[in-house]
Amino acid sequence: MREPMSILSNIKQKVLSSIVLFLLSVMAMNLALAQRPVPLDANSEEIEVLPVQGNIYMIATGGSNIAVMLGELGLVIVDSGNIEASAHVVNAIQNLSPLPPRYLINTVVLPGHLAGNAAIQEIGEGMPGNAISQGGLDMSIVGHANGLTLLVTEFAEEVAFELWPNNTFFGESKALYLNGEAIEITHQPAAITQSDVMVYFRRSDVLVTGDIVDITSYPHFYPRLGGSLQGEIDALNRIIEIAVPEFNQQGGTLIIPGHGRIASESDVVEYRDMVTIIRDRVRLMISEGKTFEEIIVARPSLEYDGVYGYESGDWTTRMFLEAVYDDLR
Amino acid sequence: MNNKQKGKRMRQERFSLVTIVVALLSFTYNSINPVLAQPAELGEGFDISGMWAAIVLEDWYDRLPGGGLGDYMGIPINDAARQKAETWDASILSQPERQAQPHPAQYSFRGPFPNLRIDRILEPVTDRVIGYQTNGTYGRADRTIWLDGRPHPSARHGLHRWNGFSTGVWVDGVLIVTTTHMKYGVYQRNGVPASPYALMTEYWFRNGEYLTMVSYIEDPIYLEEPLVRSQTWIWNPPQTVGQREAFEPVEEVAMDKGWVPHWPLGSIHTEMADRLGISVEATGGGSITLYPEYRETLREMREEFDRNQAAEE
Repeated sequence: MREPMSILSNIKQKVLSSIVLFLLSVMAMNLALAQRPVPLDANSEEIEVLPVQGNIYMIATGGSNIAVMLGELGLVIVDSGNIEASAHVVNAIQNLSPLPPRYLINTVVLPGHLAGNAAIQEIGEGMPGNAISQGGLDMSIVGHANGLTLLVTEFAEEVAFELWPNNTFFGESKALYLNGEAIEITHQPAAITQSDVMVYFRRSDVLVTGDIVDITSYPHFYPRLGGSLQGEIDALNRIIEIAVPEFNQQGGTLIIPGHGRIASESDVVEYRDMVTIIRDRVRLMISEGKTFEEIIVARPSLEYDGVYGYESGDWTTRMFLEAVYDDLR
Repeated sequence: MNNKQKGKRMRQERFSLVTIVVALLSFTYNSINPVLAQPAELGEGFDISGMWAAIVLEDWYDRLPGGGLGDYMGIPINDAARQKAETWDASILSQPERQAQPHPAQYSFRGPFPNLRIDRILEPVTDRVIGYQTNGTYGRADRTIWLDGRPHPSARHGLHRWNGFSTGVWVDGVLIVTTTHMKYGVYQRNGVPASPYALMTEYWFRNGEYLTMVSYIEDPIYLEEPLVRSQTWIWNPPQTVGQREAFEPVEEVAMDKGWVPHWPLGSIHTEMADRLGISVEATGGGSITLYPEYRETLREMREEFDRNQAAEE
C-alpha cells in the first residue's frame, strides 16, 4: 500500500506538470513573435508601401522591391515587381502622385523582373521632347545593353518585345536629371547577371541595388547569364563605397535592396562579409582537395543559414553553396 | 527514496520552478501585448529620467573587459552562434565601415558600465511624457523608448537600427519595453552574435534609489532559449553624462578593398578553458551551462583536469 504522502506528492507533481505544460504552450505563442520574417511570396498580390527618404518611396512586392521617385515633372520607377501584384502597384503609384512615370529602370534582365513592366507602361508617358521617347509618346525603359543580349539569346520567347528596355547604354554608367535630382545608373558587369545596374538618387541619397543585395536570401547569381561570385562581391564593395552613413554606422545613404527591408550601409557590410567569409571557407576547402559533399558536411554557412538560408524553394542553401563551389573550382 | 533519486527529484522541481518563472514573465508579456498600441497613462509608473550610475559587481569581468576569447559561459547560444563566435576576428572592427559602430541594443546596457542620463521626451503642446531617451552608452548608442502607443515599423520591410525600435507600457509599476528592428549585433563583445530578428523585452522597476532592468531576449536564429540578464543603477544626481561625440572612421592602416578578417572554420578558442582548468564544452556556452546542475559536470571536468595534470607531472 502506498503512503498518503507519496500519493499527495504524485498529485502535486501532476498538477505542476499540467501548469508547466500550459505555460510552455503560452511561451510557444510568445516565441512565435521573435522570428525571421517570411518574405512575400513570388506570386503574391500583396504589396507594402513605405516612405524611404527625400523623394523616394518603396513598394515591396513578392517579385521585387520597387523604388518610386516623386517630383513635379513626373515619376521615375526602378523595377516593376511581379505580374500578380501589378494592379496594386499601379494603384499605389497613382495614390502617391497623379503624374505619369517618365522612366522605368530595370536593375536586371530576368523574365520575372520584367513581367511587371507592362502595367507601368500603361500609365507611363515619355518626357515631352525626349528624342528616345519619340516626342512624348512612350515612357523610357532603361537598362544596360548587355541585357538586350540576354533577351535576344536567352529570353526572346519568354519576354514580349514591348517589355524590353528601349533606352539602353553600353558603358559603365548613364546619368539622368529629373525633379531637381541627379540619378546615376551604374553597370555592375558580372554580379547577378551581366546586365545588372544600380540606381543612385543623389539628392534623396537613396541607392537601389536590385538583387545584388537580397536581405532575405543568399545572393542568387546566374553564371550562365554572366553572373559570378567575385562580380557579386565587387558589386557589394561598390555599394559600400557609395553609401555614407550619417553617424554611428547608420542613417545617411539608405539602400533599397532587391528583396527585404530597407537597409543602410552596415546591413550591406554584414551581407558582404557573409558572402566573402563563405567564399574564403569554400575556396580553402577546395584547395585542400575536398569534394562538394565533404564541404557540405563541414557546414561552411551554418551561422548564416538561419538568416539567409532555405531548406526548400527555388534557391536553397545547398544550391547557393553548389554555385559557390562551381564558381571557385 | 535514495540520495540519487532525491537529487533527481530536486533537479526536476527546480527546473519546473525556473520554467514557471520564465513562463510567467512570458505570460505577462503576452497579456500586455494587445495593449502595446495603447499610450501609457500619466502617473501610472514612476519617472526614470535623471542621472543613474551603473553598479557593476560580480559581473565586472563580463561587462568591463567584455569576456575573453572563447568565453560564452552563461549565454544559451546554439551551434550556429558558436561557429560565428569562434570564427569572429576582433580585427574586423578595424574595417573603415565598422570603426564607428556603436554597441547594439541587445548589449549596450551591459557594458562597459554604462552610466546613464535618461531624458524625458515631452509632447510639445501638452507637456505629456511621450517617451524617454537614454544617453551614455558606448558609441552614442542612444535608445529611445516611446510611450505614446505608436506602432512598430513593418516587420518585413522596416529599417533596422543599432538601438532598434522600442515602445513601453506601465504594468503595475513596472515599465515593460518591447524592442524590435535591431541590427545584426552581438550579445557579448567577443563575437557572440545577435540576429536582427531578436525580440527584446525589458522590465524596468525601481526600489528606492535603485533602478533595475531585466532584459529577456528571444532570438530564433542564435539562442536555444531566452537570454535573461539584469543591470542595476543607483540614482546619482551629481553625475555628468554629456552628449558624446559620434565616432569617425579613420584609415590608419592600408588594407585591401573588401578586407574581411576571420578565423578559419573549425577554430576553437581555448584560452578561457585553459585558464580555468575546464573543458571548452563548458566555456562554449549553451543552455545546459545555465543551470545549477551543471556545477556537478564542471566539478567532474575539473577533477579530470587535475588527474591529467598530476599524471603529466
